[in-house]
Amino acid sequence: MNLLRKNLNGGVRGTLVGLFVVCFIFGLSARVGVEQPFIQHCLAVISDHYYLLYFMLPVFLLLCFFVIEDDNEAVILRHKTYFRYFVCKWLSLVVISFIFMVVQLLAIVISGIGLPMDSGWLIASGGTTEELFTVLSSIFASPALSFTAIAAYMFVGLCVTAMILMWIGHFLSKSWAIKIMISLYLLSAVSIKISFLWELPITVFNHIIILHHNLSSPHRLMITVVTSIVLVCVILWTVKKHWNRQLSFSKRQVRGITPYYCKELISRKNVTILGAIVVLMVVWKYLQNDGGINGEEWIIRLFAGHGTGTFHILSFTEMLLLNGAPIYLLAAFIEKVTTEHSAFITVRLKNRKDILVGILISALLFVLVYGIFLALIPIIGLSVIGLSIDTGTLALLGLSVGLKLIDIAVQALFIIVIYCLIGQITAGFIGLVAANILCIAPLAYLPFGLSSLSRINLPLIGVEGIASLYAILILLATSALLVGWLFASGYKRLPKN
Amino acid sequence: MSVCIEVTNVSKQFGGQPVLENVSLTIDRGTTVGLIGANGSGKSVLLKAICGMVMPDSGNIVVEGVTLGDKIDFPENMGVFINSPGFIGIYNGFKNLKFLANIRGVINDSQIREAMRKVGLDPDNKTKVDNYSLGMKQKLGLVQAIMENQEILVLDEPFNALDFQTYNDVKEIVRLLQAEGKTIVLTSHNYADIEQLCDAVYIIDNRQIVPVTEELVSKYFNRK
Repeated sequence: MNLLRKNLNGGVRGTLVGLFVVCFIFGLSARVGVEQPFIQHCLAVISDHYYLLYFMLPVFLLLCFFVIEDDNEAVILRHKTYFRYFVCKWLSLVVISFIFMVVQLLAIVISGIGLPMDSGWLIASGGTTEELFTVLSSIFASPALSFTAIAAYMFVGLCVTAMILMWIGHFLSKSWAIKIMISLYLLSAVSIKISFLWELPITVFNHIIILHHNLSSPHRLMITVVTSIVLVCVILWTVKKHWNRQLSFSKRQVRGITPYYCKELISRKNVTILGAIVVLMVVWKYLQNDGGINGEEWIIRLFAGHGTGTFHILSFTEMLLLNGAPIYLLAAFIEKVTTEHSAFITVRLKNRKDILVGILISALLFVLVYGIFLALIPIIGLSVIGLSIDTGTLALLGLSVGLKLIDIAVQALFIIVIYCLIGQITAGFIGLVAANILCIAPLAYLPFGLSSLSRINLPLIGVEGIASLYAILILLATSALLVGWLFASGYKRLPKN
Repeated sequence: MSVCIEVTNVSKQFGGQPVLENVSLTIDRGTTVGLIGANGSGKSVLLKAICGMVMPDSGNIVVEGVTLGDKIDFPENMGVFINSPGFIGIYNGFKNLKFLANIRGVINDSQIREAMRKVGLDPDNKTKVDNYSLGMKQKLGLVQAIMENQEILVLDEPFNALDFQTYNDVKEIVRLLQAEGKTIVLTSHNYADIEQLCDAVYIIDNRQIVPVTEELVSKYFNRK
């Protein structure tokens, strides 16, 4: 009881109030333009996976986050064994999950007041719920029974989720628990839009919490139930037998300059900027969307860049922004770590080549982080606007991101070479812009900006570009040349005086 | 007394402009040597050359028997405080030092903490370096130079822009390091500091190192 009182703290109560308000508003919006009986309205709201995945689940995870850490030793000792403490704490979370469900159901029910009280299935053709209600009506005799089953399944699912989170929170440090929670959530959030993930026999939060996500294929529900039972058994066994062990992922400290440079370059600020640039581009392309495009066309628009033998200021600016953002940050970093202000770092190395190696590895990792954004944010964008992501779209996205990464690597190497030669990072950046402007000339094999899909031979665009394989080879050859020069003589010019 | 640093006929020019011409200097182990000169006289360039940051156009520099540029470019046992060190501002002092210590991996957390306490910094202070006062930054700069028990220290203007208390603290730290037998190369705009702390003083005048004379001291420090 004490644990429950403690866990129902101000943060949790505030979250529950927020849940009620948003759920009620969502319930009201679900009535707009739809004529359906009261119970089917409730069913439609509680089974809307956009609401469930993009609002309810994060709110529940946030709620668990407040109480995920073990209490202090004095509290644990009162329970005699850690196992008993774990069970008591979980029971308090079961109560919180129950309150969570009651608050949510109350909001849904209130939002449906005034609707007709028909009890049978009434499936409107062409409606957003047609497919779901058809499936549910083939399993449940009435919407009320279906609503009860979905709500009960969700409650059990929330209890299981809470147990999983407590388990992660106990055996891992808080920071790792948060990272894993976010990763599992993202997997759930994107999985509904990526068809091949549905084929895999893996169980994520949405399977555990949302009943109808288990009704898409014959064995899906069985997989979820078996996985959940096994997981609960493993959790209880590890908590009983190995409660005093701690998993740690930070055993070995990597020596050398690269980790230091990574801290400097792959900072929260820089990563946020990269993410913001990609989000900006995705939103910009969405605003330009005149409707009726599919996933592949969306990707092509995003990575179109700029062709050769022509000049369009808008396309050029877009290309420069998408390619130049990481390079600008990289340039600022290179300038910082090679000036006298970094003498205290440099003097800890043995040779000048170590500086170059450190810069190149951290730059590579930085570009890879950008690659993750370039791959993930468009997928999320596609999900949000409701475009399906098939294997063709994923393959095109993979090619586009791959080309973009090598292109950015070439441009980053180019700027380092110019910096080594002239000693001015600004000159390097100007040189890079100038090299990109060469696209005015009809130079199909120009390596700068070669990741632009408008230069690549893709049947969907109808542009006579070069084959993607040639583009990759040109970019790889250029980067090999630049890296070769840097290791042959460029490194001797580092650090700058 | 054995030789620790030997600079022989070092010349350096930037953009065709000579900064150092045939500069030679010998620094014995365990001594403190002061370098003075006008702004732009080349003392910082000489310090940077000694720590490997600048490659001389001609001549050579030997530190602890190893010629820079042969097998290694940067001296192995040297702590450097040149200009204001560019720490990673979003982390606190301890974390910055920990990241630096990981480069060589020769000291552990408790040794870092001990070094911080030695200069009067609290290792548990969570303040980001961005929010440090100038004095705290100077002290942090000193800690990174000494925390790995470096035998040679190159300190360029360590007393710059400090308030009276911190100035005295830093001076005390330098004295402590001298007592530990460190070899120190020091520059300062205040001749009194140099005079008090150094065993030998050199002036860089007209691109060359010359022994200190009353006339030169008067020229650079307006002494009557």
